[in-house]
Amino acid sequence: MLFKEISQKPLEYIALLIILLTGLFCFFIYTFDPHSQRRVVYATAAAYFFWSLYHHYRRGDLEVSIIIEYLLFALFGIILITSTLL
Amino acid sequence: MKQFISRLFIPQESNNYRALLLHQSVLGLFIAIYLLNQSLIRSLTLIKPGILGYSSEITADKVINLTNAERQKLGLAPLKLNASLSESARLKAEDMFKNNYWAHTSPAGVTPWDFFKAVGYHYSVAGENLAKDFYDTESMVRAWMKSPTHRANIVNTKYQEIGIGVVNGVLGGIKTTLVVQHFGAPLNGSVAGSGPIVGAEVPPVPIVNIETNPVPQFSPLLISKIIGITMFLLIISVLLVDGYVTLRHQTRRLTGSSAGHVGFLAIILLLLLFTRQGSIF
Repeated sequence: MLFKEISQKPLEYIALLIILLTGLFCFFIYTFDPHSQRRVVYATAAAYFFWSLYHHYRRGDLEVSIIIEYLLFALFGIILITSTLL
Repeated sequence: MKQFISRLFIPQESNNYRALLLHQSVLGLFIAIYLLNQSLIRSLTLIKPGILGYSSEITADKVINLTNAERQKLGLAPLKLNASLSESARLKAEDMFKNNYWAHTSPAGVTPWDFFKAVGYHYSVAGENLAKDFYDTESMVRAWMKSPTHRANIVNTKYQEIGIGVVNGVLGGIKTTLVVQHFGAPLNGSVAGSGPIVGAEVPPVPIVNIETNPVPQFSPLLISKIIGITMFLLIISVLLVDGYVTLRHQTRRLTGSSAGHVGFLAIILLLLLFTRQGSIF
């Protein structure tokens, strides 16, 4: 079912994959610099959020409830990583 | 009960065709539970310092052997154990516990070189590596070797001697093991303290326990990590079930992209599962 979603807008999902992999790569690059790692986590979560705005705008279903949903996921990710690992 | 569980995981009319666990209010509840858990752990470490902490298997002998093994890989001479350097390393670790800090220079301005002077070690060059919260020596030395500045100390050709301090105590309310590595080259070959012994044959250097209680098995970060991983696995599973059922029933609804969410959560999960233990300075 995820593949069907991806196959409808492959370029947008490739962009998301690049965003997430870049975040992952930068996190490991700054292994011994928690301040930079924190910035990487914030930037990746923000990029994920802005990707969602673009993705749903293009799909024509950008609504407040969807924005809140992505905000909650991004916030959860930030809280979990910063409080557990940094 | 069965119906409630079904509503939690499977999209249907009663949950507005979206698994209840993915509703915004429940996601908010997950965040609140996680933050509450963090607050409880922090409160616990303040009220009962030392009740949570790391259990460590690190020994000074292993640290010296692994350090020299790294040097030998590059064809460098092994460092010799110096009792004065071990004493200065132990004093530094005890000072960090006593004054509750984690840095090369204490809040009062005491530098690593002050500990060298305190034990009468006169050096031409000297260095310091710090580590805490590691479970085993191998991971700790590997972390140092991955850090350019720490690695530079370990493979420095100017150093001739080494001292290791492995001290258990309570730092910031959490029981932990601090490891201090002091490196040096004696000034004009004159060294205070006992004569050096080759690293591979060093007698065991005792691990100092500032607290007399044994170090407990669970760390607060491990508890947080397990809770976080459990929550994320649960949400990812529900997203997959939710996506599958929605596709099967051809349900049209206004929600975020399941593929996008799973991708983001999977990256967070990877970080939680595979990031390093402990920290170095």
